[in-house]
Amino acid sequence: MTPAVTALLLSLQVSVWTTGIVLPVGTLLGWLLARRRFAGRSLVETLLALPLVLPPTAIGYLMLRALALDGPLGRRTLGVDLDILFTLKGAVLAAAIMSLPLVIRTARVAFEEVDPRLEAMARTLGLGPLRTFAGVTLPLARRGLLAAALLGFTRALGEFGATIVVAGSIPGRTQTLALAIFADMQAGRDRDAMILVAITVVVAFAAMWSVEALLRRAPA
Amino acid sequence: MSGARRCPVPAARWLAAAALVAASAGVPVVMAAAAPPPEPVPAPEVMVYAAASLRDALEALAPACGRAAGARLVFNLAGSNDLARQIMAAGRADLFLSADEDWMNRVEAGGFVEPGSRRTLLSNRLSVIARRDAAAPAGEGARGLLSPAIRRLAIANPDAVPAGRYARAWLQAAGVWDAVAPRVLPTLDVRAALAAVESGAAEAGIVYRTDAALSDKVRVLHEVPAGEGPPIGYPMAILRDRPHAEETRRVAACIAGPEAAAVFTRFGFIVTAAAP
Amino acid sequence: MSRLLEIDLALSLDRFALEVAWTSDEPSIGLFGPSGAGKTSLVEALAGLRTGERGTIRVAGRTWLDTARGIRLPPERRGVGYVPQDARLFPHRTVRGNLEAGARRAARAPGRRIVLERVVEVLELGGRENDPVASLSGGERQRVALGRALLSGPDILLLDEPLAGADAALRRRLIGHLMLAQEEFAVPSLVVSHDPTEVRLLAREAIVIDRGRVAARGRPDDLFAGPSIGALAWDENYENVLHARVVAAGGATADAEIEPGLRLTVPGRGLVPGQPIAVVVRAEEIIVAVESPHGLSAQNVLPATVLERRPLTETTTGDQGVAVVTVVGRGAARVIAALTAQACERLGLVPGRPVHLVMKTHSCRVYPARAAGPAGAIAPPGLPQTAAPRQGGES
Repeated sequence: MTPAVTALLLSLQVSVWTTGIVLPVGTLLGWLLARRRFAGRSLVETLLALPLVLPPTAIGYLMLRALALDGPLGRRTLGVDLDILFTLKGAVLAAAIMSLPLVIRTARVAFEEVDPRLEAMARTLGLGPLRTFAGVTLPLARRGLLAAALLGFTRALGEFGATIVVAGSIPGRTQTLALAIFADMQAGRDRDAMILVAITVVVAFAAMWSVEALLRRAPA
Repeated sequence: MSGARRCPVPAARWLAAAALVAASAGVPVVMAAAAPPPEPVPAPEVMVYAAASLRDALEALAPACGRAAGARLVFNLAGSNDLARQIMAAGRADLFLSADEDWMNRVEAGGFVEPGSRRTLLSNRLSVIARRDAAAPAGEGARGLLSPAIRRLAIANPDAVPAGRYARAWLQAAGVWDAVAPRVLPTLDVRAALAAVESGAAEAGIVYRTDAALSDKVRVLHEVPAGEGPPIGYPMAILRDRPHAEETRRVAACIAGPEAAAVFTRFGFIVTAAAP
Repeated sequence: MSRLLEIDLALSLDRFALEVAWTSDEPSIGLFGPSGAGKTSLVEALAGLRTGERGTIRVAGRTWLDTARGIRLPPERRGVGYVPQDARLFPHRTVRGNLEAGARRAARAPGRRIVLERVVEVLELGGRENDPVASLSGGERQRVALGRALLSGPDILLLDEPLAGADAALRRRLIGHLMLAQEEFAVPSLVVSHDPTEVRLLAREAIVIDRGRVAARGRPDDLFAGPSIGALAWDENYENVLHARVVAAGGATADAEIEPGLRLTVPGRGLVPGQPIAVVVRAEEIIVAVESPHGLSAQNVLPATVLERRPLTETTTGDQGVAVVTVVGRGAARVIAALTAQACERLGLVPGRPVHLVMKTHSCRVYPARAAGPAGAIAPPGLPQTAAPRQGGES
């Protein structure tokens, strides 16, 4: 298996796992922010939006300090080794934190576009809150949620700053496409770097095309 | 019925917009015109690209060599691979100190080096290090790195960074590289490898003995003697077609001179016989 | 025996506070009032879609709301079949998907079972079950919304202005469907309407809401033909509702008897003898004659006596109109004719004056109170017989 394929497979692994984590979490949080008022809501919104604007290296550094040996989540403090740093788990965690705000935002908009009166109608027909969510809200928010998943996936694919700090750039272990491009660049292997860039562009293009199509209003 | 003010005439809107654009374009002009008269011409800058392991020594030398050359030294410290690529891409360096000959070769092959200015200044030794307050994870020598207590071994990127390439060469010669490779944690440069061991991210690491000496959080498990490891050399060269060639020559002479040699030795480098 | 609907509710709205209380056993209640009187808010509170109300709501013996005791059932536990003004169908499901949306609750509801195929038949939705919602016309949407509510096993139907936005022809068809559905499925219903004719056709009891208060209550015919409603109901669009029974049919016209000796010739399509019907005639389409007219094309000439004259509230032509209230037959039915003041003067229409009311057959719009099927087959086998005859027929 060539290094390029290895990096691609690692990237796909990270992105799939990340999407698997951030989609349910982001959907729930997006729904909460769309439908519920609660104390401290503005604070929650701002905190959740931070990874969008903070430098990824800052986030990575915070994670590194937290998970280091002596950190609040480190082996010495907890008594157990979470084994996150410099592993694929770390790459997934870093990508998840970076792409969660994007998923929350997109999911929130998707839910805000669902007419709450339709949900109320379902309740009068005897459907409880959970069945209403599953039978009315989710299907109507389907397109937006799919776009959220794709956005989360693509963001995870391109994640670099936090990943390289938390997971390192270990070939075959944590060296995803973005990191592999950097490594090839570092070693002066320009041709290999360009091949990886091309792969990344193709995948990202396909994903964003779909996102735009999904977010466009469906014809009435 | 709303209280909003509106521009009564569309033309007024255009005027307002144009005024705004002109104002923002004019601000820098006005500022430049109003700037205080320039100070007496400052000392010319000499841009020194140097391997990360030379950081502390060069910072100690900077004031004296700067005065001697009548210049101000500005440093760009990183892995020699990064520095070489930056030189070849943008050509902003006046002086290049690489941690291995290979990267200097590439820069020279690219035609960036002032002919005749290249000389090998220093050498170094590899050291296997571990956290001072941890139990010794390994036995002696290269074979000691096979110990399962070492879950991660921090090495500067063995693909590209000189310190890492030296480490790999040593472990390959000792026949343990294949066994050790899966546990290698590659870092951006040799100082990052040091930091990884200091923070406990890696149980052990391979850095230069000059790096190990600077940290009180690590101890040396094994110093690789000259014959056991690959030959390590730090070449220095002046880069051509740069504005302050004379000052750069003086800086290079200072760095190669006897006072500098004493400083390098103090930090643990080995000063090779330098041609004047 | 528990009452059907007990309400005692206070709710703050934008411009006033709604405070209503009543108890009713009638299987069909009409909530009447002008726009903005608070009717929709009241219906939403019944459905459990409002917050901030105080008071009690009890339906068929179950307490849905009792703020004093801290009881507030969520909408899904109440048993409401809500049909809002704008249908609110689920756009992501087909017609059948919408109809079946409440099937789960219906399966749990004790008592009568309403079958989807029968609902489709009564509401004339046959063939459209698999169509997407977007392809439906406005009238079809309303029918699907009604079918969806019926099929969800409700204790009570809430119909909020079910005929809003319908043009005259659609309105007549929808009223027909609603009357059939009430007849066929016998689910208690509360109909909100600002139109007196709808209330008279669809409800046995009318409750009038004005500015958030109950202003009047009673049988619709009494309320709307009587003077107590006044400005709320009387304009030139007033429609008379006469209850009759078909005595002869078959052909383009049919004969319907209001009371022995008092007959109307009405359009006869689809009617069968013995069938109770409601005949609706607009006040402005009635001609008043002081002598028995001859040689008229109109086939209906009813003897009547002038009861009183009242001014009409609004006319499009702007001149002062007069509502002439007459009593036909033995006094059971009132008919109102809208005339110009000039005509009233000219004819000398004073209380007590005997007159003749002239109505064309085509001015009589017929609403059958029962589906015309094979004689005697009033309800399909398996369903219990529907309750006592609909409001209709003579007293």
